[in-house]
Amino acid sequence: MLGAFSRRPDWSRPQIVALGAALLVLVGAITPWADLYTLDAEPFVVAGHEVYSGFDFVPLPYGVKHADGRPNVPLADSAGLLVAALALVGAAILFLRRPMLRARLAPIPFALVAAISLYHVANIRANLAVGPDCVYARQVQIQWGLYLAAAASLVATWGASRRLRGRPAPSAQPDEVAGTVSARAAPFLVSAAPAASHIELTSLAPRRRLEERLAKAGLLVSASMALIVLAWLIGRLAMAGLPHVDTAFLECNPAFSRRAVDEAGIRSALHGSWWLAILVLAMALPVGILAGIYMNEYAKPTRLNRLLRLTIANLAGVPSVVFGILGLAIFVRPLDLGFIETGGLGFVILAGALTLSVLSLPVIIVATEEALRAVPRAIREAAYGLGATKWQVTKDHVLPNAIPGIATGSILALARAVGETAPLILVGGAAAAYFVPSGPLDHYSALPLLTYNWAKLSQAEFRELAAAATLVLLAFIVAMNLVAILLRNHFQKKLRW
Amino acid sequence: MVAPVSEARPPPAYARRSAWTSLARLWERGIERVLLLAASVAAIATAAIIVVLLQNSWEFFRQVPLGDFLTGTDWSPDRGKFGVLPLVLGTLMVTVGAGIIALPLGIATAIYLSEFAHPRVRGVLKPALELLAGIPSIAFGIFAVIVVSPLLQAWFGANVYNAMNAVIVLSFMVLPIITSLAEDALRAVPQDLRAGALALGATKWEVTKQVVVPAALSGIMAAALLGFSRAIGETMAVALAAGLRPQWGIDFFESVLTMTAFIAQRAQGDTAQHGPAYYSLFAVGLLLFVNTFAVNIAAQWVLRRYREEY
Repeated sequence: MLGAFSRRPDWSRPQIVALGAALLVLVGAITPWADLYTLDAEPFVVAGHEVYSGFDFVPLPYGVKHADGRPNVPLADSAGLLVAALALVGAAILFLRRPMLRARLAPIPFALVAAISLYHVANIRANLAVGPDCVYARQVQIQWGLYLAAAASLVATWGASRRLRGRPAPSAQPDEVAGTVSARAAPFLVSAAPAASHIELTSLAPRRRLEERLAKAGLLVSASMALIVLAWLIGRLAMAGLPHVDTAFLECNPAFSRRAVDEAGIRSALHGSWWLAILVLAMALPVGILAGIYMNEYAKPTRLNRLLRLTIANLAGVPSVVFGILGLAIFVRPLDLGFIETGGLGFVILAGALTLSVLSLPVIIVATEEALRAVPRAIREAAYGLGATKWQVTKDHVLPNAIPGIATGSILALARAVGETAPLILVGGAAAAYFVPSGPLDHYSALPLLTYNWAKLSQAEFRELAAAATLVLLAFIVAMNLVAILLRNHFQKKLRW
Repeated sequence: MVAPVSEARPPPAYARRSAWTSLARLWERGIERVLLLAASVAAIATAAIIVVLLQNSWEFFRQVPLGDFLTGTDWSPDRGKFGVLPLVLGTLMVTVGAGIIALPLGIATAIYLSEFAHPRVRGVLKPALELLAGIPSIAFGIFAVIVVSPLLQAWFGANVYNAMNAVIVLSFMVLPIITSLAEDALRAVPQDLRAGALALGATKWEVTKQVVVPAALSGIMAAALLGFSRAIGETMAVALAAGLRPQWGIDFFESVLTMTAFIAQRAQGDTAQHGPAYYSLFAVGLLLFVNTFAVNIAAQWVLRRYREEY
C-alpha cells in the first residue's frame, strides 16, 4: 500500500509551494485553537456564541450554530477537524507517485478547505460582537487565521494542479570527491575517485566502516541540535506568549500591578524601540559606512591606520554591558574630564540611541569593509584608467556594487541593536515608562527593557506577558534577519564576477 | 631644418592645472578628511571606554584597596564588602560550563557543515544557525526562566535561579558563534589536502580527523576562545537565569552572580551616585573589559602562532 507513495517525489516548484501552503493551512487552523487555550473563567464570544474555553476543549472554533442560535459545539469541532484533515490529505496526495493522479486529485481537498474557511470568515464577520475590546481582538485574530487558511489553500490548489515536469531519474553520480578535486591533484585521482565511492560499503575493514558510519551519524545528530534548539525556543515562547498577543496587547501601555495584568500592553515600549531604531539608523549608519569606506579604500598601512584597525576590532569584542557603562558615564550623567564638560542628557531616548549607535558601529564598519573587499580590483582599475578620481571611483563604481552587502550587514546590525537589553538597563533608567515618548529628549522604555522588567517579577502572569513581548520582539528581529539572509542569497546568486 | 624643441613649451592641456582641477583636488582631500573623521569615531569610543573605566575605577580604588578587591571572597556592596572573587568564580562556572556543552557540539556541527553536509542540508542548517545567532539574549533569558528552570527544578531539585540554567542557555547562545568561526577555519583548508588523503585510500571521516581538523586547529582554537569571550560578556540571559545572589563555592544548582549580572543589577538599583557601591560598577566593568580584551588578544595570538602555512 505504501508503495503507491514515492519516497522521494520529483518535486517541482509549484508542488513545494503547495506543500508549504498545506502547512500554512494547518497553522491557520491552529491559530484560533491556540487562542482558545487561554484559561479563561469568563465565556467569550466566537462567531456570536458564548464559548467557555479552557476546559471546554474546542479545537477549531468554526462558527456553526443550531437553528435557535446556540453554538453547536460538536459540529463546530468537526468542521475544524475536517479542515485540518483535508489539509493533511491534500499534503499526502502530493506525495503520490503518479504525476497525473497527483495533479488531478490534490486540488480537490485544498479547494474544499478554501471554501469552508471563506464560509466561516463570512460567518464570523456577520456576527462580530460589539463588546469589550479584548473579545473583539480575539475575533479579529481568529478571522486572520481563517483568512490565512483560505489564502494558503487557494495557493495550494494552484500549486497542486500544476502538471509536473518530468525530471530524469538521478543517474549514478560520481562521488562528491570527484567534484571537489582541484586541478593540481586531478591527474592522481582519475583512477582513485571512482574507487573511493565504492570502497565505502564493500571492501573497508568492518571496524573502519563502523567508525565511518558512527562518525557521520554523530555529526548529523550534533548538527541538528541547532535546529532543535531553535524550534524548542520559538515553540515554547510561542506557547507561553501567543495567547496574550492580540491587538489589545499592542495598543495598551505597560502595567506592573497584578490587578492590571489583563490591561497590560507594550505600546509605549514599542514606540520607544521604534525611536531607538530610527535614531540608531540615522546616526550609526552614515558614520559606519563612511568609516568602512575609509578603512578599505583609503587607509594606507600607516601606523595611525593600523591603530584605527586595532581599535575597531577591539570595539567589536567589547561586551555590550560595557557600552552601557560608557553611555551612563558620558551621555546620561554630567561629564567632567577636565577638558570637556557636558551637562548630561539624562535617561532619555537620545542617550540610549547614542549608546546603541556606538555599539553597532564596529559591526557596520566590518560589514561595509567586507562588502567593499568583495568588489574586484579590475572594476576600480578600469575606472581609474578612464581618468576617474579616487572618490569618483569609490562612489560611482565600488559603492554601487557593494550596496547589497552593506545593506545586509546594516540590517543585521540594526536587528542586534533593537534586541540589545544590557546597555539599555544602564542608560534606559525609567523602568516603567507608562507613556508614549513625545520626542528624542523624552524618557522611554524599550521592548527588551520592558520584557526584562516583567520577567523579573515572580508571578507567572508577568512571565507570560514577558514571553508575549519577547515574541513581538522576535517577530521583528527574525523578519529583519530573514530579509538580510534572503537579500544576501539573492545577490550572491546574481553577482558573478 | 627642423626647429629645436623649445624647453619652455607649455604642458599639454590634460596636464594643465586649471582652477577646476585644483578645486577637484581640494574636494578629494576634503572627502578623505571626512572619511578619516568617521573612522576615528570608533577609536574615540574605545579611548572613551578606557578613560571612563579607569577614571571611575580610580575613584573606587581610593576607597577600597586594590588588594581587598582582587582577593576578597565576600561580595556584598551594601555592607561595604567588595571582594570580587565570587563574581569571578560565578562567571567562570557559567562560561566554562557553557563551553563544555557548546564546544563539542559547535565543532561537530562545523565539521558536518563543511565536510559532510549535502548542499540542501546546508541550505537549511546555515540560515537556522544565523537565526539562532540573531536571537536577542533577552529571549534566551525568558526561555531560561519559563522553560529550563522548571525542568531543572523538577529533575534535580535545583533552586529557581541556578548556575546550570545559565550554563544551558549560554551554551545555546555561543553555539552559532563557535560553529560559524570553526566552519570558516575548516573551509580555509585547501582542497588539495583532502584530495591527496582521499587518493591514498582514506575514508571521508579519516580525512577529516587526520588531515582537515589538524590543519584547521588554530582557527578552531580561536573560535573556542572567541566564543568564550562572548560568553563572559553575556549579560541578560545570565542575569535572568542565574539569579543575583553571589556564591563562593561550586554548586551548579544554586544561584550565582556573574560580573555582567552584577552590573545590570546594580545599575537598576538606586545607588547613591558617589558611594563606593556606585563606583564598584566601573571597577567590575574594568575587570570585565580587561578579561574579554585578554581573551580576544589570546585568540588573535593563537591564530597567528599556530597558523599552518600552505
